[in-house]
Amino acid sequence: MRVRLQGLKGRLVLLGLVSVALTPRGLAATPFPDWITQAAASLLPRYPARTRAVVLLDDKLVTVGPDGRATERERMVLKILRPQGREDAHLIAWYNKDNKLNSYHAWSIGPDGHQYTIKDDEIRDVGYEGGGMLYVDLRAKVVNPPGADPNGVVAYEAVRQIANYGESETSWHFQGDNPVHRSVFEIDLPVGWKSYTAWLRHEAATGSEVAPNHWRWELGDVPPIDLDDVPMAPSEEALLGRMVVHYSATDLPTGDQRWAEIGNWYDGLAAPRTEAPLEVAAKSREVAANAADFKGKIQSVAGFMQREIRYVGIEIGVGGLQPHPAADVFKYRYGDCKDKATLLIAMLNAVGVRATWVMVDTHRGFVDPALPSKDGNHMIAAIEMPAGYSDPSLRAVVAAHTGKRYLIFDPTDPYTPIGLIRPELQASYGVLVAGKDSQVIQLPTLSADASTLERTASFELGADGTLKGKVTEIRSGQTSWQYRRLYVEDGEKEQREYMEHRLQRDLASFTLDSASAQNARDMSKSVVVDFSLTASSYAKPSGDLLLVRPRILGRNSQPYNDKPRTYPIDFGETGTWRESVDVALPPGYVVDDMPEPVSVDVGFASYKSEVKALPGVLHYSREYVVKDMDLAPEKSDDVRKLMAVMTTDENNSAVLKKK
Amino acid sequence: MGNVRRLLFLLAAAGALANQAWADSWTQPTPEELKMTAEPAAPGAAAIYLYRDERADDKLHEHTLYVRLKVLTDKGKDYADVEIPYEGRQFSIRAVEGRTIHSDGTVIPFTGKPYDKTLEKTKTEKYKAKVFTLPDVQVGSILEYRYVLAYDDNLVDAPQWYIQLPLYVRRGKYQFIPSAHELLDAHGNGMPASVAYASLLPKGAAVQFSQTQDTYSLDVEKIDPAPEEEYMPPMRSVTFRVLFYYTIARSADDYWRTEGKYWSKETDKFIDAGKLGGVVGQMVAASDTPRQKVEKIYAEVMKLENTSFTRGRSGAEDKAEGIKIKNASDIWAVKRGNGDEITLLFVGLVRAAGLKAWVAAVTNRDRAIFIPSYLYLGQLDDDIAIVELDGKDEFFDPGQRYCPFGQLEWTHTITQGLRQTEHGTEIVTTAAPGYKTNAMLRTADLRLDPDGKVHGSIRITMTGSEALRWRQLALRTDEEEIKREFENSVQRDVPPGVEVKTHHFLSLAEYDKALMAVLDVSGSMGTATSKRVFLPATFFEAGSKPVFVHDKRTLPVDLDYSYAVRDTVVVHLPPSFALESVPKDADIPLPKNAVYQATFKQSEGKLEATRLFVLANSLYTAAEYPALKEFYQKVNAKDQEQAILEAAPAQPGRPQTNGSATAGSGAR
Repeated sequence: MRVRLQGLKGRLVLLGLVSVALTPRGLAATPFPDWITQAAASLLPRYPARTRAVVLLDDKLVTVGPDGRATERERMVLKILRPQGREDAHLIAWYNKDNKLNSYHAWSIGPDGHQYTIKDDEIRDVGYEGGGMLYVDLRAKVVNPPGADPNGVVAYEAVRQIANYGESETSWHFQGDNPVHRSVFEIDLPVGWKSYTAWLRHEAATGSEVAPNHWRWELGDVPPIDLDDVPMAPSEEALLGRMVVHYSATDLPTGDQRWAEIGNWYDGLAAPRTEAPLEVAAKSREVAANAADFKGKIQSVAGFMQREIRYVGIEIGVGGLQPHPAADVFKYRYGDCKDKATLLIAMLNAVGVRATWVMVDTHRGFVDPALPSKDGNHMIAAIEMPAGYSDPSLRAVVAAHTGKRYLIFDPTDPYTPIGLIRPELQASYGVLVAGKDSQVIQLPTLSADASTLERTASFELGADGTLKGKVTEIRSGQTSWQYRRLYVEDGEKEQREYMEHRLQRDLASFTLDSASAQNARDMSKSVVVDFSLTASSYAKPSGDLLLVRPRILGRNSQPYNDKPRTYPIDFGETGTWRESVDVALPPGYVVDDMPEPVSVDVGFASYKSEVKALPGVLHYSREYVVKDMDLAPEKSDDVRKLMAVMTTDENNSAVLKKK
Repeated sequence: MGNVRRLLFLLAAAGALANQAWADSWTQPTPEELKMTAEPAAPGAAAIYLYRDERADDKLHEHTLYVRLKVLTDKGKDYADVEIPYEGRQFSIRAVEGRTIHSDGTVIPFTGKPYDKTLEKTKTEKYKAKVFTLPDVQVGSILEYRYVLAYDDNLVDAPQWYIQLPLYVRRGKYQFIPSAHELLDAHGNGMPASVAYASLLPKGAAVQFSQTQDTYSLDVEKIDPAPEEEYMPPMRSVTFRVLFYYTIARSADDYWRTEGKYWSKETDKFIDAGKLGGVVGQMVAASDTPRQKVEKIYAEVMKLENTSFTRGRSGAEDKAEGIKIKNASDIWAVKRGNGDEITLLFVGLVRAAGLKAWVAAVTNRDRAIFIPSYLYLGQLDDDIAIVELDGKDEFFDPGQRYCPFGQLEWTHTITQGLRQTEHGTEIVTTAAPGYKTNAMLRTADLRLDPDGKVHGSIRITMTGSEALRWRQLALRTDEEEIKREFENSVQRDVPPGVEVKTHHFLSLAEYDKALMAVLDVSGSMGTATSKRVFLPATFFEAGSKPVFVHDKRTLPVDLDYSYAVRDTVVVHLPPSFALESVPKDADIPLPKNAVYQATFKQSEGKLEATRLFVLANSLYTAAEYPALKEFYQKVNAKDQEQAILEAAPAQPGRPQTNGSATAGSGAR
């Protein structure tokens, strides 16, 4: 699924771009608007020195006709404050066949005060690229306006038709990574129509009815979301404030009922696409032929989806929301996320398992129960669990308000076994599509034992400091993801280079003697990675002593700093990382000194390590457990303390001495 | 200048020609092709080309491509997605056909319609792409597709055969039928359709020409994938290839002489030194020596806004300011221009001062390698200046703002290009500057507290490439930004727990002086056991990672430029601690190419460490790689050695472990 055009504006602002609509008509005769010169004359507050640009005015008017069709007019005035702010001044207007541009006017004011009007030959038309999509009908008009230097001002006014696929909402993205001096949003509804607003990460402002059923909101001096130099930061999408207006000719439900309507709307759009020919059912029964029970069936079908259906995105018009028919996805063996979810649903239906879609966003926090909306960027599936059924490997289970339980599964993710979901989806919200029983659900946070790394290693240390030995890593859940990908997709050269780069982070001088992995394709088993290495000069002489870092491989600590914290803290994943390492000492050497044991438990995570001097052996063990990945800023001191302890432990040394 | 370097051939007489339909049927796969699961010659390959057939027919005005590709791994399935970019005004893609063949021989035809994607469209240009994906692709599938690139009847398009691709090629066949029409060259001159080509081919492969069929052809087999290695020179420009073009030149020398003449004439027309006499009279005195004159002119053009580092102005802006850039004197008048324009202005001013000066256009070394046999001016990137001083040619880079007088920005060194001479043009080669040109001096004066906290300051003085890099970054951004980026660059390699913050720069905008950065140090340093404290001995490189990690190497190594770094670090120790031991002094040579020296001294409550690293040569052959890697690994290992402190008897306290966390990769 791709983000709708209405949602794109906000996303582009996040990327440092400004979205506008353009059309090459009647520019020369357009007078220079006074709303631009007025905005340019605004008295601004003092901004931090690192501020690139400020949005002087962001003004959006949505006009809804009696037939429900809408147009939007946007005005934006941006002032460049630093050289880097030039990047914010590229005016980009997305459109496609269902979201046409009606009109466009763009202007700029150079730092010297000269006023410019954009001409036809200064406009480029560019196609959408990237995102792993083969073809998307999205295009953009792009302008690099003159005068875009510090203290220059760029501006536009645009009018765009809004595609109507049966839903009725519009968003106000009033916050970005630049400060917004003044933001205005208006909606003009047919008389008698109903509307309501929902706000996220900003106190709800009161709208004023400036004309019959014409509503207006205004915000001043909205601060930016600035994540530069913020360690362990959530995604920007998860922090930006926004407002959604829902509107309808009839009574409008709010809250959970609105979520149900959104899900029901999508059900109507997607459900017909699950109809599939007999060969789909036949294939489903074939792959699940040996399945003994529910788990076996879903594992078989999920495995087929992960192995056999390529990710290929083709989106035209409503195709940004509506999946391709399951029959086509099956026949051609490719599709995007919503296509794969649709085929999965069709195939599971064929073996008596009910499943449905879950509309999500891969930026945890973007979808929020407080803000009913269809916006999101990904589609996954929810598989209905039989009543009373349970299996310890099926962890990603949610309960709906209907009492049904669903196993959440992402058929686009080829390396997360069914039963688990990858970290960016965990704890995020999505719309469970279940007709009138649709609802917003929170996806589960998996416990720390769902993703584990068990590392055992045995080394011999030479008197010259050379370390030689073997390492075995047993990886399950998220810790196995990268290794499944590496050993399924890549060749020997890439595998070796990946491992060498891994060792590069910990060893100054080394040779990777061998490396292999087992079970990379078998999603029901942990991946076992074996490798051996020789690291010359690992132990460092200092006078008559030999210094050895007991922590040989892998860092669990993450960069952190002493700055005051205002944003939430994102650990990225939950999991458990354990290791046990034996280093046989060079003949004639004994351990003279070693780090003291470390143990810290801050509730959401714990870390402990210990170095022991055994006969002829230096033994190091440690365990790091992350139970909760999203933390409030108030936990910053605990995170800092945890990371400090871990950093120290990971860099500490033991001292060897000749007997 | 771009137009001068661009070649476009148009048919003098256009004729309507029929389109060719596919006459060939698909190729029946062999049992071996169906069953194969790997290619021994390309172990681990995601896919290979079983066969690749490129034909260009300038009589029919079309190119055809036919591909047979075997998918060997899951990743190889990605090759089922095909994107064919093309120029959309005069070119089109037609007759797209394809099919997937499973390893059991089942054939799934491509029945869909390719999508036509707009890449970019402007008032004068249009670039598009046809995209399609093949159906039901599995590991083991053979993917087969073909298409025709057709172009207008008044156009010819000499092919460029890139033989060496990201995938192994079992067999390739190439064919070119040139036009027989008289052509117009870029200068509007009529010319016979004479064909030439530049080729880089594997041993045993050669382009054949059949006079009876007026056709060039090439058959290749067993072509290894194009190599990709870290720190490689721009090898993408020298993979196996054959590049055809129409020309009236009879030899490479003839081409460069002839095209050079056009280029030089256009260049001199822009310079128009005669209009700069009055300007240069304000800059230099008659009594100045030639070198003094050049220094003064250089200093003046360095003051101009170089829009290559800020922002080029649009025509509307120039018009609003009443500006029309026709020649170098206009650049001087508006006090701004791009790098090439400022270089030409500099040459013009030097000429106006009565000295001999020329322009050279060179291939930037970070992008490509200049190939004299490839008769194409588009190889050339930037302009540099050559001035005769004391009877010798000296090179200058006024188009690179803040480049020191008499030096070239590193991408313009050890490269080739085309230069003006007194009698025309000739190929020029630029020199490798010595390591002393690019020098860095780093000093740290640090004080360690009993609780492990550290504070002090760092001074880093830079000349040459490193100073130029930071100065030019400041032009693109501002001082606030480079303060941040500079401290991040230092932070990466200092010991864990230490925090650095840029306090200020000195001489950030003075190209003729060394650039100095002053940073404050805080945080904590070192680790501890029950009896001892360990301090990183080298400080500036304590957290650095090894440069080379891979054992195998097939390509040369390119480290950009030679340089020297000298460090001096003094750590004042708390009275409660004494040094138990320090690392041994080290002298690690890489004979004739590099040297590393480190000394460690304890004296009166201080640890003093010095470190010298000199890289005298930046280019190495693959055969030299093992020694180079070993040298770097030894250096890195030495850089991570530690000094040991022990608590003095009857002294309270000892340094605690790191109190803050600024390190850690998060790699698990």
